[in-house]
Amino acid sequence: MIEPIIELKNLSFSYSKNQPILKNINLNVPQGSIYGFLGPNGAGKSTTMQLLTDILQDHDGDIKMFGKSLKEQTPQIFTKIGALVESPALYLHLTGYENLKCITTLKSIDQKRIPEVLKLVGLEGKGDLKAKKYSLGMKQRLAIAMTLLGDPELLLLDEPVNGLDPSGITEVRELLVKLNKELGLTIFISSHLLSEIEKMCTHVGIIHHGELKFEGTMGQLAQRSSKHQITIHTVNAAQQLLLIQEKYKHSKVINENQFQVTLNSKEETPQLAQYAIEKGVPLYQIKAEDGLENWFLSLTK
Amino acid sequence: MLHNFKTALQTERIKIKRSGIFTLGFILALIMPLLYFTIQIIQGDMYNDRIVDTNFYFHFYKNPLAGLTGFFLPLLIIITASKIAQIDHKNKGWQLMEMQPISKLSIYFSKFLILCFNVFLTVLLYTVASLFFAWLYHTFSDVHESYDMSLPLSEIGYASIRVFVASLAILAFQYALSVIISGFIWSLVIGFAMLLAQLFLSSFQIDLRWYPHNFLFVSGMNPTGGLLGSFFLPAEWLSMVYTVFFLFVGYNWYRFKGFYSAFAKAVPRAITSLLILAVCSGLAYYLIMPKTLEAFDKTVVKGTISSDKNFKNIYVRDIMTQDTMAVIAVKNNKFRHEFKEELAPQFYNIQFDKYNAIDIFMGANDSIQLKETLYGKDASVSVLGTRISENKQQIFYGTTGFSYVGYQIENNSSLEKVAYYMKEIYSEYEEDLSELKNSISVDHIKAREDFLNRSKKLIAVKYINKWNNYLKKKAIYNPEVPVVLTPDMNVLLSSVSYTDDALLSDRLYFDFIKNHLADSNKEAIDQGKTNLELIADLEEGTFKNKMLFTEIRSQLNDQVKIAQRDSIFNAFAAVVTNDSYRDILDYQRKSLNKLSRGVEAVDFLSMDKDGKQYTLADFKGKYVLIDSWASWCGPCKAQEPYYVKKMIKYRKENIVFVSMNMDEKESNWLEDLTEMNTEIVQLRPLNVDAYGALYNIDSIPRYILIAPDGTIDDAAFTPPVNNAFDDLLDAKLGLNTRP
Repeated sequence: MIEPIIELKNLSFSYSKNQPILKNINLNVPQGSIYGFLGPNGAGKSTTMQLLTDILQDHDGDIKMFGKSLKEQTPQIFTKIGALVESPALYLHLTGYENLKCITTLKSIDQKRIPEVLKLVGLEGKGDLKAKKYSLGMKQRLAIAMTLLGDPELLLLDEPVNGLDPSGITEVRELLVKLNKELGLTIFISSHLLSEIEKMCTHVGIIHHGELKFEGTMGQLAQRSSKHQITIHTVNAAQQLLLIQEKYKHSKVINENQFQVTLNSKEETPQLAQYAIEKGVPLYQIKAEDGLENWFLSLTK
Repeated sequence: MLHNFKTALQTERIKIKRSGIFTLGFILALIMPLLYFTIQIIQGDMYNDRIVDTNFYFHFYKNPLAGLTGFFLPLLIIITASKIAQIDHKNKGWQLMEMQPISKLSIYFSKFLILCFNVFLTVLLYTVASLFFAWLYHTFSDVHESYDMSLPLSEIGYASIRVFVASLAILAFQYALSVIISGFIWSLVIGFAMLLAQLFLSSFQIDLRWYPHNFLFVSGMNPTGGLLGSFFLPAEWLSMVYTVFFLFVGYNWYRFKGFYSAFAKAVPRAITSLLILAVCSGLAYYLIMPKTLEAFDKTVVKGTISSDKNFKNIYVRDIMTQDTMAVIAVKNNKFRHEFKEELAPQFYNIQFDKYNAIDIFMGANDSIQLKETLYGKDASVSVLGTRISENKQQIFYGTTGFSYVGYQIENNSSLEKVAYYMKEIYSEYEEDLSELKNSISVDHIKAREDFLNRSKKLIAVKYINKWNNYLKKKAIYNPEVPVVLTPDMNVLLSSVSYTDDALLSDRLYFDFIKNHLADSNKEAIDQGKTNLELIADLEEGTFKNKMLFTEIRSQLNDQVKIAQRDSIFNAFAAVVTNDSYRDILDYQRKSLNKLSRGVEAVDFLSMDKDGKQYTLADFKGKYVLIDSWASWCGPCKAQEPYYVKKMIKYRKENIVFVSMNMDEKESNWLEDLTEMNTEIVQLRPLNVDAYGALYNIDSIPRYILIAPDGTIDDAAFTPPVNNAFDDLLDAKLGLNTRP
């Protein structure tokens, strides 16, 4: 069995005695995976990120990277890691090129990589602008470019698509997936956007109130949230519900014009539609709810 | 590890692009030399005067240096330290850097090194600029030929290196502050406050030897370094100690992100921190505390001479007896003498051949090194050795500044306020005492106990005198007001002994004792007893001998007639039980008698500039006033204009004004003659030494008045600058009988 690239054992952390931020986290990031670290705001994602990058110290429990304790390997471990924590750290008075040059100097990398990496994130030709002139999206891309320099084995990204427009989000997502497939780059990405995690990640860890509620592959996640939910838009929902309630017992009214029905799987959807029509329920819209999202919301209430 | 540091440095260089850090250094380096140059060009007269032993380039470098070290360099440090830390504070750069493969050590020290380099370049540029502007000034304006125009590269380099070292303490401190505090304003505010505090302190001449900004100030004010010969001044060593300490604190505070985590949390770290604190405090304490110089194992006076004149001997004299204790031969412009006898710690007079003299404080087991410089009439003596502080202060009577109390006594203001006067006199006394304690040289050397005790006593004497003056005045104007002495005043009045013979050589103490004798024996004085009689009545001992000797000698000098002089001598010399004192008095009596009024003035040959010969007999029938002078004698030159004025005033009277030159070299006389008055008879003895011996000329200027009958009227007439000159001459010439 290959060792996980990141291994957190009984990790606990608190700033002060009364307020624990992380409680006994046990987390494993397999090599070559894209691991989504999911949780609502304030769950402890950023704190975990900061512990992984040694910005915060004084924790209980073990943090192991590449099979060895993190403490032993800093700061040289950063030749193998690219990290982007919270808002991008850029020198606004320097140009994009110069910012990247700082990294290449620190990591002893050939400067030739700079235009390559600028092209990768879609900032080709913008390298000579001062960073303070960049838009938020451009800053984010530049920060991602900085993490890519030096061919790292592991990327630690904290909300990397923050501030990007939809096309930007897509581009970044496709880039990360490509890098993972072609280079075997492990990516540990934290986000509160479930949709993004769903589209990109191979593994998921869900954190809430400092505790890890779930960890596993996307497949395992899908199984957990296997129940399929349909929302039907109609009129007089309460009345209409009564008509189908006999067969579909797991249903409830949402508001005056909507009610929800829980099915075992999405294959049962046509049956429901047909049944509703037979019963004379006016159907304005039949919508499949995101099962994962609901499950996630219920998990993190 | 080194590679780590190198990459950190290279990255810093990228980060400081367009930050203005080096540009600021460039500008601030140039301000002072440019300013100084501009002022000198406009004023145009600073370098026109004759000077001695001064290098022009060094002078141009040194004068604006205090501006750099006092203001612009600290300013540069405050601003650039803040700037370089803010580059990372602003952009979350610290976090970014800490996620790269470089150690926190490299991160912290790479920035510090850049700041150091900047300060170094600034000092270097200042140096180069001041040399450049000096050269520019020299090209466009006049510099007197007496200035040394060689390039003093090693002296200037030495001064600049020390200034750089002295600035490091402030740099380490400001840098630590700027890294620890993420807001930009606080490090600037604290930095400026500390800078202003130093400006304030230095304007009041308060020398806080432990204050970091003081190190740079002291270094800039002493570009030639200290007097003890060590490479760095104590202030500069202190700067190094403080720098290490601030770097340790700053780095660890940054590394562990908090004071507690850095120094108190883990036991080994706490121990290391305490150790560093202890070591640095210990070193700092050692450097700050003033030391006294170690005694020497012999008693030696030695030195060198730099002059255009020929020096044969150096004379060491006891001030009180004027007795020559040693005659030191000068060989190759060097001299050295070891005293085999025990010397009491007091002031001694050192006379450089026949030229200038200086009073030096020394005692047994002291080594005194003198450097005599005499060119033309400008003489200066520098004193080094084991009594540096003492000889900087000379005869210390405390502040010679304005005494408000003295002024009030003079003007008889509110003499009835006894308590007020007591308080004021005592407080001025305390001020003088504290100034005595605070005079510490730039090498942190303080005077030894024997000197301090002596000076304390003399200061007390000064203020007891003031109090007595006050009492005298009060007795006249407000005799009815009672005087109740406060405990402080009692302390003051009892702090001086009336039988301290070691202090007798000091004029202030001698007069004090005389007055005390007079005051304590009022009835005897009323009955006609003289001072000499009072002194003669004292208990036998060294004190009495010294007092008697001094008083007899002064009275012998005052007497004009041989008969009076002899009568005093005969009456009181025998009471002096010290044989050598008696011999000295006898010798003095005889030599004064030789030159008493009425004695035939021994004639001698002299000539004018054309070689025409003269004798005193040529002037018989007239009064002859002879002014003995020399080209190297400053006081003689000072009297000259008055002499000319008097000559003009008495032109029509029965008197001839003569100036007799005593230079060793005729050429020196002839040179000076071109600028002197031609109506005065300008002569030079054919044998200068014989003339000097004949008339006991041991110091110049000396005025000798010969009567019309060829006898001596006064062998030591009053100098022309005094008002008494006219009164005395008028009397002799019979002029004051006229209406």
